[in-house]
Amino acid sequence: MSGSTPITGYFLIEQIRNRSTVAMLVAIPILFVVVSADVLSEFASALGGSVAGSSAAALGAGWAAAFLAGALGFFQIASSRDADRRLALAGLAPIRLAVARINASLVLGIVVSLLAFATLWLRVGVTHPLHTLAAILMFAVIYIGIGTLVGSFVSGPLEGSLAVAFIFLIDAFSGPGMSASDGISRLMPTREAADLLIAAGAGRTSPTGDWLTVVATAAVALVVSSFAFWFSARPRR
Amino acid sequence: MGRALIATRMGFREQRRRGLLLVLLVTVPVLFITWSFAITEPVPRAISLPGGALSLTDMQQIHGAIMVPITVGFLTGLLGLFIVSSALESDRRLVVAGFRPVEVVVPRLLVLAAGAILVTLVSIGVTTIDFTPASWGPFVTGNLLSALIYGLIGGIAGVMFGQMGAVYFMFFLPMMDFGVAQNPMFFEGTPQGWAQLLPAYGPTRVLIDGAFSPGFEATGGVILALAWLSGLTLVLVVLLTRSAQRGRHGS
Repeated sequence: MSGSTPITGYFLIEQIRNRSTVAMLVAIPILFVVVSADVLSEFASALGGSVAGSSAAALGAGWAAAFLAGALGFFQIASSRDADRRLALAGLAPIRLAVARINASLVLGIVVSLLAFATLWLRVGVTHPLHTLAAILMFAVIYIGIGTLVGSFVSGPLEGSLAVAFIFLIDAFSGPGMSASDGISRLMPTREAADLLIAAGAGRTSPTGDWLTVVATAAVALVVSSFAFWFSARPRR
Repeated sequence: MGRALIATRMGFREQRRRGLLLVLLVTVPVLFITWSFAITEPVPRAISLPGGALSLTDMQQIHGAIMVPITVGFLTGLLGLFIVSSALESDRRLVVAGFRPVEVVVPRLLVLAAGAILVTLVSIGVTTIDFTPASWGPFVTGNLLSALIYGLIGGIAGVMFGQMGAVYFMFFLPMMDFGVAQNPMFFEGTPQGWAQLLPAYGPTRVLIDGAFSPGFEATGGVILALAWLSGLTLVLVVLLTRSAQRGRHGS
């Protein structure tokens, strides 16, 4: 997959060429964490959830990384569908193309996660920095997978953006800490990542098994989305 | 006039062809709003109404009422963004082909307004399953103003930030403006001073008045919302006209 690295660089440049996009990717995670830190505890209690204080603020950082990463993943695929088909027809292996596209999203997702994490640290303090950062990153990785998956099958940018936002909002507001954790919340993609983030925010560690589950969820999201992307970008003669 | 009518008809036809979009414009409000009622606990809550009166209600009712502008702001913001940004290039070509800028700008605004009305009606219709506002007029007016204002903001963002930057912006702004700054579920039921600077302040005060008060005390909110609506319409018309004229001048 090392052959994908230079292509990843080109795809990354393509994404950050527009200064407005870069400005949004920098400003939104910061503003989101700052504003939501004050209100998420209250919102959770209205939904019957129990998350409060630093844990609620930490969850906000995870959400900021998630919704930006979902949009990143979607647009990385949807905005370049025709070009990617042409690249595949010209001989570039669709799987290399998929890896390069997803890698470009991952790089930007890491930047967004770091910004959300740094803001969280400055705003409310972080007891377990590594755990917190890792959990925020997992939100971003899972949503890059979701965005890529949506982008592989939905071509319209409006329809795809709505689909990603729809998944995000259902996931966020019915996840752990925000509602009584039963029923549909058990099926949510970031459920385990949210548990880790809430624990890290409260200064608690999480069992290794929980971390493995989250890493496995993120890996499945990336593998499934890579396959979906390969499927949609493969040359059809 | 005839050309403007043709452009308007084509604009509507373009949207009608997008089956998935229509499905999402209907299903998103249904799921968001119904589900918001379902997951919220009826915790008692006092909120301040326009005019200074306090109303004792509960979080479930507030969440249901505020989910309508959150949903319409979010949906029409994205709708405005894509209606405008996807048409910039074709509108330039139409101007090169002899259309006057006004004949391409007005149809875009009409399609945007129609989308805003559709989303508002669907969202309010869904809300009535679980919630009856104390006064329908202000509730509907406040939500419609929210939809139109955010549709215009989406259009402006589409011209200024490019499609991707604008999507990030329109994911974020309605959520923060309606969902946090104007939301009576937070800040002890009263929006804080800084919230008054945001575009959703006026329309949200109007719809909150309609949701929880049988009288009408939100004249200031209506005036503020209309001021935002006029200002944003002017900005979008100027931006679209300039963009379309670039076709004529070949730059």
